[in-house]
Amino acid sequence: MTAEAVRMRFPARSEYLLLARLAVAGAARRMALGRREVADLKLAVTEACSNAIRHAYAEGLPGEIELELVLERDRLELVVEDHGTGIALPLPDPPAPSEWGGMGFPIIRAVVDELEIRPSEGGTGTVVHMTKRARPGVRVNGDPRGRTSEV
Amino acid sequence: MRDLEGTAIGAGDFRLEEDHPRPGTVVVSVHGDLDLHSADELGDRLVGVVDRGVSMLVVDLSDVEFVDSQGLGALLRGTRRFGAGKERFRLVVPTPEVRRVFEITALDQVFPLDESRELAIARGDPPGREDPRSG
Repeated sequence: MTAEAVRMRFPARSEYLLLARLAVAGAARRMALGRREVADLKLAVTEACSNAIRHAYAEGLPGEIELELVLERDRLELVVEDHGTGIALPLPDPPAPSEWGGMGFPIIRAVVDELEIRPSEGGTGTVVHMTKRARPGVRVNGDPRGRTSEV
Repeated sequence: MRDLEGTAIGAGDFRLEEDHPRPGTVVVSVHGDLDLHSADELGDRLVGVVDRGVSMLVVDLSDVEFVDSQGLGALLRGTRRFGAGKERFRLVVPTPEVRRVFEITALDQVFPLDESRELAIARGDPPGREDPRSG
């Protein structure tokens, strides 16, 4: 089964977080995921985008976020990329929760199966690559006949 | 995406309501998604309510479908402002998907979570009216 990909670009502003969640929910629907899995994916994409908004473009400069959703046969990949100031890698140990943040990446790690954080290829910026695998027996990639594919 | 500039996606969906079911008790009901876009509004409201002087504060998340780390941060602002007597700061979180965020972050050990507004108010009752540790 051929992968499907959706790419979108939006301003790095908080009012667009809902747009990212809607896109992910739409993709997740094609995988017939459960409510909990959909909620996990919405949480992951929101945390990744929020991190870009708060840190990559923290000086108030205008910036954009690129979101790519790739529906593979057995998984959904979420790729969030910014072209801001970049992130110091590797990440430090998870800090204690505070009112100002620090919980974003620990939350992402808890709700996705794989997480890779790397510098953007273009120089500055950060790529957050998240993978959520479908559970066995879940229909993937919107089979128009509605059949279940064992994965 | 320029055509979406100024559309304020989701901005109009978030709102807060404040009820006073009895003297000294304030219930702040949150409607809409609680994320980076709305967290400061909630945090500021909670700090304002606490600074006015209340004996019990309930934040009702029954009409919230989504909470992220920024939303949790806003709630932490409120509870820290409250200081002592945190059992009088209670959250109504009936939705499993929202409750899961508190469990992932272990904040379900910090915030008293209740299934309904009525339970939250009853459990947060001052000693003498009802032991808050009961039930």
